[in-house]
Amino acid sequence: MAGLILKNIKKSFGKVKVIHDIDLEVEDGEFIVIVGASGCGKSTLLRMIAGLENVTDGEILIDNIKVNDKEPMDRNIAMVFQNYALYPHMSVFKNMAYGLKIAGLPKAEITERVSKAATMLELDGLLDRKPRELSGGQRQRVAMGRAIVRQPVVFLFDEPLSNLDAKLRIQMRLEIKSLQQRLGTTSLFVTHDQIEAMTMADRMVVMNEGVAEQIGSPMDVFQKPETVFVAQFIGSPAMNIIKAVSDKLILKLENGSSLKCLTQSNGDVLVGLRPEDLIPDKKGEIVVDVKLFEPIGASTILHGTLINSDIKIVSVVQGLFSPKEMLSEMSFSISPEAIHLFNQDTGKRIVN
Amino acid sequence: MSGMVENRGLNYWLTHVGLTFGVLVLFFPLWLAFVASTVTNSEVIHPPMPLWPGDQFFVNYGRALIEGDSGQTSASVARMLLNTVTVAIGIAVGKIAISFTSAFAIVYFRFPARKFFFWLIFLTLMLPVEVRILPTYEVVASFGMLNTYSGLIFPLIASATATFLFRQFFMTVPDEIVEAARIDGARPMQFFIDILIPISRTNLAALFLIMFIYGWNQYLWPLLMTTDPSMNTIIMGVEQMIGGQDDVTPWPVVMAASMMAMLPPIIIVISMQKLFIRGLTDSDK
Repeated sequence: MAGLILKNIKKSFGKVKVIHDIDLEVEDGEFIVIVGASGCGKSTLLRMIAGLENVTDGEILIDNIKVNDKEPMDRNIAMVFQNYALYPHMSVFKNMAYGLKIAGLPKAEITERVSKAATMLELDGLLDRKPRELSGGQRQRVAMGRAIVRQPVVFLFDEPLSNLDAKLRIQMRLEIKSLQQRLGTTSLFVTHDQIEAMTMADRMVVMNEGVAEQIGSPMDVFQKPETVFVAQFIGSPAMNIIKAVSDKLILKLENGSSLKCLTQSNGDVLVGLRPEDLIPDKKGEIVVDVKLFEPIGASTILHGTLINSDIKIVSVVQGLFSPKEMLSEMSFSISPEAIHLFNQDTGKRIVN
Repeated sequence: MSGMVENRGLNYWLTHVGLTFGVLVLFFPLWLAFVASTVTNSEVIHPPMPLWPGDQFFVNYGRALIEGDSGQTSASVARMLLNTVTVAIGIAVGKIAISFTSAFAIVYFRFPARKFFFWLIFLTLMLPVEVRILPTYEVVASFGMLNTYSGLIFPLIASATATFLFRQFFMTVPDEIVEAARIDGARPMQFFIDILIPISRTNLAALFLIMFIYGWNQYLWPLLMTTDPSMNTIIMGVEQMIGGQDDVTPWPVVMAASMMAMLPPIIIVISMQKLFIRGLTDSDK
């Protein structure tokens, strides 16, 4: 059964189209992450599902009921905002209880639901505090508590971690994920951070300029990116994309080097090489004029250009390099399975 | 604070001498008024004016409070204080109620000609009481509201300034709070009562203070529309107590009335000072 269905969702502000035709069926209990650069329409999409924006065209079904024209409160959803949006004058308890109070639930049940959520989120001792007396992570938990007590069919998260510092972000990421698994509630999570997307999602939606470029499990998206945009957006450092001319299984790169691959194509293509797939090899075909080393601990990022050209290329090499080992010219090889091919005109992945 | 007391050179003393001198200059008229309210009338009229309080404090203040100027043109100060407090509170509460709700409408609702109405309200800034005093008088008179509290209060309670201030404050309330309330299912009036009023608390207090003093200091309008001395407010009442000639004016009583007219605003400002400054500086969000 599907908890949430989006059918041909479109949105325009006046004449500007911000979302083009998005189709998505979310399974019950699934954790979906919508990821994309800022301005790609991902937050707008979430706000349409929440009922904070009108739907220009298409249908939104929650629990198999069309909710296009329903008020947010009647949609069986709960939302966690980026800046938490806690009511500053209310205690933690009242913040969580406010929606239930409006819904007219009996006092005893409100207290029970709130204290249950508070225990789950380790907020027990803080129920009488005001939001301004809490740390960022605690505020984030209160915002989640407010969502949990509503017992919605769908949780909506709008970049809830981007106001936290790096360490707390990683911790909250795990907490949200494990909480969602315990509650089994269908969730939509919007983020611009591809690591969050990769680690949290059951399936992810990669959006670009109002279009869902690819929908799939994180590993699928990473291993078989369907477009150049997805290939470069997911994975860090980003995938190298190089123009090439192919002749059956042989690729001739712009600087003249040639590579073997397993995908048949003809004519102009784009070759995608992940930085971590480039392996140092004295006999390798890819010769790089190395300009810069970035040691990041376990590995080192090399920045350079392909020899005889000014095509930029990045590679990640295991281990640290001592200054002596830093060569101005290095050769790499890549296994034919690791090469991605894209159509130069459409940006779409080429498959056999 | 201890780190700030290091510099006690000439500058320090000069600053303080300057400040003290300024305070004395400003305070002197008040002191004279106080002295005049504690002596007999003949001591005030015949120069030189005494500079130290006399022994008539209780006589003069008692007379002002209970009799006023013996019922010639003005009521007792007690009565006038009651009138003024009523009118000032009425004006302050009325102004806040009207401007708060109209700012709420302008910021949170989309209705036709919203901008137009906003500018219409804004335009009234250019029409203070003094400019529209004749038509206002005509309206109030034909409603039979001369010499009533409602007549004193209603023409003064629309406030473009307060509407504008509240609008500016509402616009700083994060959109997400409004949206969170919508998701929680709050109807507009529930949002208004449960969220908007509590988070505007300090602003409300600051504005109440300003509006109370504004109401307290009203002079022209009460002067024009009250003919019955029992409806006099204190600010105009004091003026009414002054007769045509020096010898018929009971100066010590007038000064006692003036001193008492100053007290309530001073008490309110001092007691609400903290809240007032907080309302103007931070928004408690």
